[in-house]
Amino acid sequence: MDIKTTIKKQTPFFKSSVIITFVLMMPFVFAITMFFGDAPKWSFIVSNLLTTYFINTITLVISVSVLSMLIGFYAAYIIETMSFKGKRVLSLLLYLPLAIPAYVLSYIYVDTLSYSGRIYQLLIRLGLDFSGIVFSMPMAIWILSLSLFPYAYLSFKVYFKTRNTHHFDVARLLRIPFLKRITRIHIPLMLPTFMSALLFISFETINDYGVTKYLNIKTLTVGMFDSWFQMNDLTSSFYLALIYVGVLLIVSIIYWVIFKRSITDSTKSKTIPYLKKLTLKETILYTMPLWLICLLSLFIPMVELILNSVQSVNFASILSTGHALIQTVMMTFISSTVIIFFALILKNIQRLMHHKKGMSIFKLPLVGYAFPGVMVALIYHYFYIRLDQVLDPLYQMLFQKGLMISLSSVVLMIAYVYKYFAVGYKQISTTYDIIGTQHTFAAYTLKKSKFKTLVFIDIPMIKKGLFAGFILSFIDIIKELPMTLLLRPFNVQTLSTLIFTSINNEDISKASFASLLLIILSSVLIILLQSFGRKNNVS
Amino acid sequence: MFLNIEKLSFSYGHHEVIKDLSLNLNIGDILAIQGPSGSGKTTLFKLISGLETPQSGVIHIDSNCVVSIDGHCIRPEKRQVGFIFQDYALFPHMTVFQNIAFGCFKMPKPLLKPYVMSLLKEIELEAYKDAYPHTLSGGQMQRVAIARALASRPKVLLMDEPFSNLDESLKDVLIPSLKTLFNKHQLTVIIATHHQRDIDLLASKVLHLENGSLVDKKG
Repeated sequence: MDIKTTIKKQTPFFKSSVIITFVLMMPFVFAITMFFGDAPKWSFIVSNLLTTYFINTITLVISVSVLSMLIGFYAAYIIETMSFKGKRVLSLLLYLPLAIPAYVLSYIYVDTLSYSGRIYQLLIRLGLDFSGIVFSMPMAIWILSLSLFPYAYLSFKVYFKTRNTHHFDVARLLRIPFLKRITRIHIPLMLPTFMSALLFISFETINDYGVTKYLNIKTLTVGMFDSWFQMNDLTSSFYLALIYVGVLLIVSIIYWVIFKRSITDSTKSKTIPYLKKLTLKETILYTMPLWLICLLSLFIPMVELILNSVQSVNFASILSTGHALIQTVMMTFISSTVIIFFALILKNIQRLMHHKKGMSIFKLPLVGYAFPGVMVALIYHYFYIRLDQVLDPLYQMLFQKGLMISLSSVVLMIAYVYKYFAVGYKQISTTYDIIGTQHTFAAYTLKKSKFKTLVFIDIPMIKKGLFAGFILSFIDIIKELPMTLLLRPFNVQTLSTLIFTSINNEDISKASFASLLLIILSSVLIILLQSFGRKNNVS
Repeated sequence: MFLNIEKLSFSYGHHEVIKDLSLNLNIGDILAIQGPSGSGKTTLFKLISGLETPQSGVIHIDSNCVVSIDGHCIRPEKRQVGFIFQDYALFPHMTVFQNIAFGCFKMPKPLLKPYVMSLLKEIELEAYKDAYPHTLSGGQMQRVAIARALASRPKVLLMDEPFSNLDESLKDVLIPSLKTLFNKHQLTVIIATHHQRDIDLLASKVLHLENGSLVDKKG
């Protein structure tokens, strides 16, 4: 079947996919023109700041990745290969730090480790003083690792749960020595999981703005933000973004070289993993580090937040937080729904068309996740300002006012959709890959329309993926800070921006109350996702 | 006796899977064990190979005591037992050649290649030496798994439902050639299956696993 006939057969999906990809990618194509603009501060950045940006970003990415991967791997290994009392509770508690944004952790720790802080008072009685390292790189590494290790934990958990243990049994029976089994079997089979978790954590670290800005660590992302907002030099921000894209390209090439011969295991989850039953003594010994991680990443922050909120919360802050909560939920709900809708359309064009390679152009929006939020905000802001300028005569004629799009929440929501599209898409794509295409084509042969097949056949079959995709993108969006700070209209306040502005205004109680609401909301969604996963037998 | 099992017992928690099981096999015997799913065939294989530890009983392989009456067990690596799993468990990141050569890591390099090639010739897959497992058919994967097990020169070969993924016409070709291969290598083989046709084509002895013990239904 030639490509024209195939496209004709899938016209509704094809047209929608073209529009979606165009809407999401157009600002990036347009942004190229910005590189030819005037950059008055660029020479200052290059001679004074660029080296610092680079060194800090690389130090942060490497250190956070190593620490998060170690914690995540150890946690997943203990939970998935051993049987002990309290395993279910610990397993859930290790997920929950996902609900706490890293910038919330950073201000809690700065507050509690500073001179009047509760932990500081406790430590000083024990003769320990950490106040000197509060605003430092090690602190940023520690905070980001505590916040990001659940991503590694989740990935390794799935690996340990679904790996084919027969490979390891065979290697033992072939009399392969222990070290060789580790290097030739365990590591290569784990490598795809390892690399995807590593990439994810690296992107999240680079994307961070809240922690690094608050702790005064100059990274590429902070640099992009500052050169735009503090130096008022948009073009320099674009140059920094271009440098980031260059680095990303090099990393992608290295990744491709490593994995071009990588073959995934097609015999997963057919074996029941052996669970080592731990005695009470072993349970204490092996799980102690994990309880300590829960204490630092979950219990201490939660206790601090509750105490801060209870001590000095007032009606005005409840009112403003409630208002921010409503706006957050509304915008997040709309954006997550749009992500799921777009993902459905773009996945369908990929799975139903015979010309898979030609259709990979519709995978372009997936790149959004790799870009820092500041960069996405920068490009979207620039594009929609220019679009508004072009459309200004029309606005004046119809509404007697200008900047209709760029001053509305629409740009922010489109940016959310672009940045977190991959999160929703991945869940839907995986579920669609499991069910295959036979049901869809069977419905077509029964003369059902594309729309009816999608609504009555596909959606009920992939509801698990739809739900997971919606919840995961929802959680990511409500925590999002840099894009929201940059793109929100003047009258819009979300929980994340309220927290950040309150911290900067030294209003810890207001920030704590808003953080508490945000964490409760995220935690409820994570628990909901967990229980839904268990009911539907998914990890 | 080449393989001798005496009063072997094993349970998962309170569920007794293997109960006072005894078995004797000579060198070159091909035994088929029949039994419904969940009757304990795979567990028995894991006990023989050392992947599980029995609660009681004794196992001897070629006069070596691998499980003694005092509960001492020799590790799987030391037992010289080959195990072919139902899913073949070929290493997905290695080629056919690398999969087979992996078990002969002690062999000097100049000898390794001709040895692996001779095994590939025996299973008639010389042309696929550079192929990855995911590109092979079920029958080809099964032959690679057998060659890999043979490469490490085991004394006993355990095959857990090895033909369940193959169609009947392929079995007609494959099973007689396997029988020749086993005879040539003088292997003691135990096959777990519930297909009577596989048994008729391959096995010299048949036993049924019932309530955790082996029973000869022919009396």
